[in-house]
Amino acid sequence: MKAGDQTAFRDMVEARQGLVFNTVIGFLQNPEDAEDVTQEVFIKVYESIGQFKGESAFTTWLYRIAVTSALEFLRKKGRKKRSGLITRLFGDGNMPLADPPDFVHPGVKLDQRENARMLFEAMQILPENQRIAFTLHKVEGLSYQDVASVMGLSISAVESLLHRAKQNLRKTLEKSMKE
Amino acid sequence: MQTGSHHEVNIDLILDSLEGMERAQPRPFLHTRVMARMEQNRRNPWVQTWNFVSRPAVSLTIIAGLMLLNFITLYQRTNDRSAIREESIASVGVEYEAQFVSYYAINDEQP
Repeated sequence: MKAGDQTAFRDMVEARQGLVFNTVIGFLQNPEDAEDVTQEVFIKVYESIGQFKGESAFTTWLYRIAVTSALEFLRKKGRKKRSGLITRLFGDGNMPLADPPDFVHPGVKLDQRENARMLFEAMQILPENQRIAFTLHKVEGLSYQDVASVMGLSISAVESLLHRAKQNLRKTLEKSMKE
Repeated sequence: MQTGSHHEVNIDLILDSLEGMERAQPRPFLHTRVMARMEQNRRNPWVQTWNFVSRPAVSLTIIAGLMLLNFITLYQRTNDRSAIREESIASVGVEYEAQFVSYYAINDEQP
């Protein structure tokens, strides 16, 4: 693929598209945005394959690009929402301020859909590092070791992040149930 | 109204709701759409410019150039200011000398 082999690139996209899309949709919780960012991820891979030195596994490198791109997209969207708020306050902007909170991951079992919807909603307010660890572990099903490799942390640091993520989710869910 | 322990059970169920989930897949022919987007980007001059400027070597050169320009301007301003200060001190000195008339000169006395 480093030599610009188109067939190798196509094979790679076909083999890894689920990995990238599933990771990205876990963060963005919107299939259209996730598709858009997935395309961006593969373009970045195509353009920067020369920078991949093989110090980590190719999949780890791909996860890093996917996570960074998804978070970048969320930041940009956040800025747009803030400017949208100003437009709404001072103009006649009709842009919605938040995505409707009814995202259901397409891979969730049918009987778990309502619970998963609540969980994904609660995940949105986790601190960034906890959100990354939780999404990679729970949505993408990575082991602690793999999450640690992607995030460049030790396994114990990942364990701690996941523990705190669960505590925070529990608090958020308790609060929403009491309301 | 739900009790506290009932809430606990519900929360545990919610936290475990992603167990056994399957991977989400994008729409078919993603590769074709990726290639089309790359082609579109190649034709867009803004994307080309941004890609060029966002290269680390180019952006670092631009930043270094701006900083150098900043230092040169600052250096020139400092030099100009000290030259003006010296000039004004000299002119004050000349003016003071011209205006200064000694007491002895006025009274035509010897010190």
